[in-house]
Amino acid sequence: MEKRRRHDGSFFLAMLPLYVTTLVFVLLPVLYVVALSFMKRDATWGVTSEFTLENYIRLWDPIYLKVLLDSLKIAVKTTLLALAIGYPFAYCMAKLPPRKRGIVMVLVIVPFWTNALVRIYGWMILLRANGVVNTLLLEIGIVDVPLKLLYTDGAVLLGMVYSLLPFMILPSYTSIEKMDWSLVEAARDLGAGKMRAFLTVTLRLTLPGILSGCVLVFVPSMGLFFISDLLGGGKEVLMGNLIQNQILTARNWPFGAALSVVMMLMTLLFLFVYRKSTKQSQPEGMA
Amino acid sequence: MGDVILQLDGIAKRFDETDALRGISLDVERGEFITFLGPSGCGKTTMLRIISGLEHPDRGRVILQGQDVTDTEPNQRNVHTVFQNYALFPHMNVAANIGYSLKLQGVKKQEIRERVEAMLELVQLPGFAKRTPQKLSGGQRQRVAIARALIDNPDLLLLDEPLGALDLQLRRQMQTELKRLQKRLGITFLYITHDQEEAMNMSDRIVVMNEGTFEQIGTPAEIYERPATSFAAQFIGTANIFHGRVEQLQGDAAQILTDEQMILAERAEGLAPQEPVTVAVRGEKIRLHRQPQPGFTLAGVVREHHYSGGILRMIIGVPGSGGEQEVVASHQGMESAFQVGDAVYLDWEPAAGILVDRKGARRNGEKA
Repeated sequence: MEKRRRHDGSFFLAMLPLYVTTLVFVLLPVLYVVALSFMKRDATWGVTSEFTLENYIRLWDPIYLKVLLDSLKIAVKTTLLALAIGYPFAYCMAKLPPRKRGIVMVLVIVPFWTNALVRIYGWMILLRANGVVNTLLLEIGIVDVPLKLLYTDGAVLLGMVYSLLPFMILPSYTSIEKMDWSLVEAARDLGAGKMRAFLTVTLRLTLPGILSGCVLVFVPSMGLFFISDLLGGGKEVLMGNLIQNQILTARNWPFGAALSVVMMLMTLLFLFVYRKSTKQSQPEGMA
Repeated sequence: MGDVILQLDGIAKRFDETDALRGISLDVERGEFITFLGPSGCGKTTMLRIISGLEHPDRGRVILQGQDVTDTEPNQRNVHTVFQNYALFPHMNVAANIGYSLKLQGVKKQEIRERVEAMLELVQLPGFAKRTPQKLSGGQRQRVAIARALIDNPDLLLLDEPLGALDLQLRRQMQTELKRLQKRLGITFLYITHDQEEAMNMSDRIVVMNEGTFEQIGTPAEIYERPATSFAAQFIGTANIFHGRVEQLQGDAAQILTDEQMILAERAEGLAPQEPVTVAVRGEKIRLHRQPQPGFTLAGVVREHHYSGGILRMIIGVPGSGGEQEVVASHQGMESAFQVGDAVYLDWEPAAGILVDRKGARRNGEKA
């Protein structure tokens, strides 16, 4: 552990831009949202500075609880699916010879160069009733009637996993790439089969990467509203959609703010669990 | 032939364009401490990995306890390795590391704990069970790695330069301890090193390796006293190598004409006049004189001498056709009777001139 540096004047001065930036762009907006959530809605479009808890009480309405639960469900599904695809992908990537590894890495990163919204529109073209996938299936004769692919829960999940997969692959890859493979050999040498060696050594040692990946996928998947809008047809309302809706359409800023606060708290809780689990994952004692 | 625990039969392995092993064969007896000695890149580690199953040979068989295990996985062989970098699991404490193989075998927790405790006693680390590998010194990690590999009584213990990362003093101490441990447990040790002193101190037998082949197999004394090849002679101890032709055979001596002078060598079996030979002479077998002696003496000039711990080494320049050849003579003592620049005459007993690299002589373990 590094000792904390003494905060003398020059140090403070040097760090000032950081403090200012954090204050202006992070702390103040968050505080503003929190403050908003305790205010009352104005008759027109603004807010009145009157303290109230009604926004939070309103959250307990079963309609909103269902939205919360649905969002959690899809976030969990997205995370698990991204893990199931992303980890093996990262594992294989780390095992490739360096040159090929570089190429695959570029392929993983390339989608970031295009706007996320555009890429989701791409999926719409693929999935709609007379889209590429259905045309192909009809041509081959696998189906007689176009399948309903777009505007389904599956399409939303697909879009989510597709958009967030790199965030699972990259941290997983980083930790797998750092693996000392002689440890796996040691495990094999001491009598572990391939699977046992993977579970007791590789998986345990790459857990930090897996957990970072899960955080990076889980957290944004709670708030990505445009995917459920475009690929789900807005049928399923998620937290992200609800907040967008309250703030932009219903013009109920205080309630939108309250929803945001709840989401932030959930994210914080998740991060807290993550921190806890990575700390514990250090030395494994034998009982 | 005693109780053979491991047989290597014509093992060959290629990596890309290089031959790591060129068809080596060896029988190892139960309870032996056998050392593989050779420069880096001679194929020692590849051989060990083939025995443990981490690598598979292109040709040849590995026979363990009479069973052909060539195509089996590492976990199907009762052979454990102490890796060069120890390869301790960083996410487990010392006890979990040592007990790993027992846990895999489904041994009860209570029993694992007891056996781990016993192993910690054995390697002199009592009370270290709960520490993490990161908090141990190099020597302590070494002991944990050894304990981990020994806990379930393997048929063979493979050690890949286990003392390489330790400082000299600790290395000497660990050599003694390892040897003692091996004697006590009676487990067969296959030990890799490039340190000849280590090999000499610990081994029942030494296998001298070079470029994927076995140069010589023998006890430390055999290899030192009767090196089979010039490589073995020079890799273990210091040896002076002379190339020449047999001039005359007389009694139990052979007179060898090098390009300028005549020297003496042993009269080996089947030696014929005019046969080209290579002679190896240990530095400490060389006698130095002020005057030419009756018989044959090699004339030279003292170029350097240095003292190193009880031994005085003299470097003597001997004229040859391709310029001066350096001959190293070493003697007990501190002070030299000779000054740099003095003329000096060298001779030795015929038996001290060992004929090496002879055609038709057995080069152990080599097969066509």
